[in-house]
Amino acid sequence: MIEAHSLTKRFGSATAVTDVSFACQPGTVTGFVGPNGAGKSTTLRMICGLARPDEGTALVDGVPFAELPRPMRTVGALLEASALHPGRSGLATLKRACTLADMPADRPQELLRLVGLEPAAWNRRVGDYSLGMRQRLGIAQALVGDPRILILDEPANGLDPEGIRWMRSLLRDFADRGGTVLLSSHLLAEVQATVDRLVVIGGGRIVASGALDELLHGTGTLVRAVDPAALEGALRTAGVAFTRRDDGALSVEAGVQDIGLLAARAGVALTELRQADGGDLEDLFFTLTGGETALETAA
Amino acid sequence: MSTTTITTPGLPFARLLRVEAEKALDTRAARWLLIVTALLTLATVALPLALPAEFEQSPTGYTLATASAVMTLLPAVGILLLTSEWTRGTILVTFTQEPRRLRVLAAKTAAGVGLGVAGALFAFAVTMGGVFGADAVLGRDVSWTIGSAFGGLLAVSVLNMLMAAGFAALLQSSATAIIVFYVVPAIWTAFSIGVLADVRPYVDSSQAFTWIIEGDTAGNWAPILVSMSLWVLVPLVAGAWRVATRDVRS
Repeated sequence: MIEAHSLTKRFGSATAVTDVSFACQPGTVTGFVGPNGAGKSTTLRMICGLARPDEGTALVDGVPFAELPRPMRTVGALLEASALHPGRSGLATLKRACTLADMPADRPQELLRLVGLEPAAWNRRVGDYSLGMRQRLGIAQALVGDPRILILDEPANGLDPEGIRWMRSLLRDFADRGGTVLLSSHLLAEVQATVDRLVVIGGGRIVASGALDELLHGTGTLVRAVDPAALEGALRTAGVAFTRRDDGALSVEAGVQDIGLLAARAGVALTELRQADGGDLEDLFFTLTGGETALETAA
Repeated sequence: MSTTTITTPGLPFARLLRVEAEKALDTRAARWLLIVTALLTLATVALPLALPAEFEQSPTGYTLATASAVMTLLPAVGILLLTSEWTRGTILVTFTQEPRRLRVLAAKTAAGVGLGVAGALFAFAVTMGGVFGADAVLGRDVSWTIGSAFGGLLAVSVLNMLMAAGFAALLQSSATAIIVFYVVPAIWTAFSIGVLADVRPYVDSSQAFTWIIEGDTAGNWAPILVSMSLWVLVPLVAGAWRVATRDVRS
């Protein structure tokens, strides 16, 4: 269980995070998404006790992070893939973490296999690792103490599609065994297939949050007609709100069945009629985070 | 905070200390600094052997020479043990593994002090080897009175490592901490002219260290306490406060 209660953080006169509240329940994977600079890392650092909120509190397992009786056994965090000593090997890095967490001596090897690092890389200096390998090592380090909660900042950065698929099943398993996962990303598509819940942040404020399905549903129905003008006319007559998409289809705030019946009565031939899917969630993401900041997602 | 630490143990301190001691020794920079310190300590014992007129032929006289490498180079290892975590950003990991930051600082400081004790033991062994050489091999008329030589060396080595930890905790940057640690005390000494010359004993850490090694403390307790408070206690307390309260960013 992770709880953020009205977190606010200022850097000088600039406010990085304003009144951010959300909760992550055991058994779920929560995606914390928003453009670069939206306040994701700042929020995660406040949750991990690394940055002090100006207002609000963050609780992990019911207590502030700094008061966790057994931090490594409760929470695993990966906040920065580069925060690994480049002069040590991957194996040495995990051995040290295992010493701290008082875990069995064979756990480093077990974890290195779990995160898919080749034995040939185990004794190489972390400085020679690729970003993807460092992310895998960072996730292994977060898992050292067999925690119930995982907090990962941009874990998919530098992972190839195979790596993202691997991470997805790892986090899914973790949550299915009762774990709580909070992961951030500036790319919605990267986490969409992994998470059950979304918290969307833009400009330091939460702009949407809820179950992935609910957020998807909120974007309504996608409909495309042979004669778009006729369809638009029928919708207007029926008083149904819609928005025109760039590709000629319409996004309609009504159910699939209602639109189908309406089109049939109006005699409009449809070429596509379905609940808006993930592709539209990307639109939602852009809309919610605002035009100016949304551009940064391309970076 | 302290009551929380007592009732909810967190990581056992012994385990933290073990890991920090390993961290202090397992980097290339640290290993080279230790090797050079050992070699320089062996080299410095040649000074009192070669210049009997300049150095009292006693454990105290030899210690003044052999202490120099330990006093100069070991603090760099102690500083890097702390500051490299901030410079490299690994402090993010360290403070999520043990969020009780002052315990981490205490473990790192204790590791540095341990290094200071080991350095003092090594330097004193070299000292006694030198005195033995002067006596048995060169046939000089030496004094075997250890007096405060060993205790003094141990004390200044530990104080020096505490001073390094204080500067490192306060500045949290390898380059800045090393420059300030080595340059600022020297600048104080250089500016100690005129009126400042009167206050110099109270702000000169190296003078205090020399008094302690020579056992010349009787009339000098006031300046020793003042300068050690200034160079050791104040940076440590201010550094601990900064470590405990400052946001970790990378």
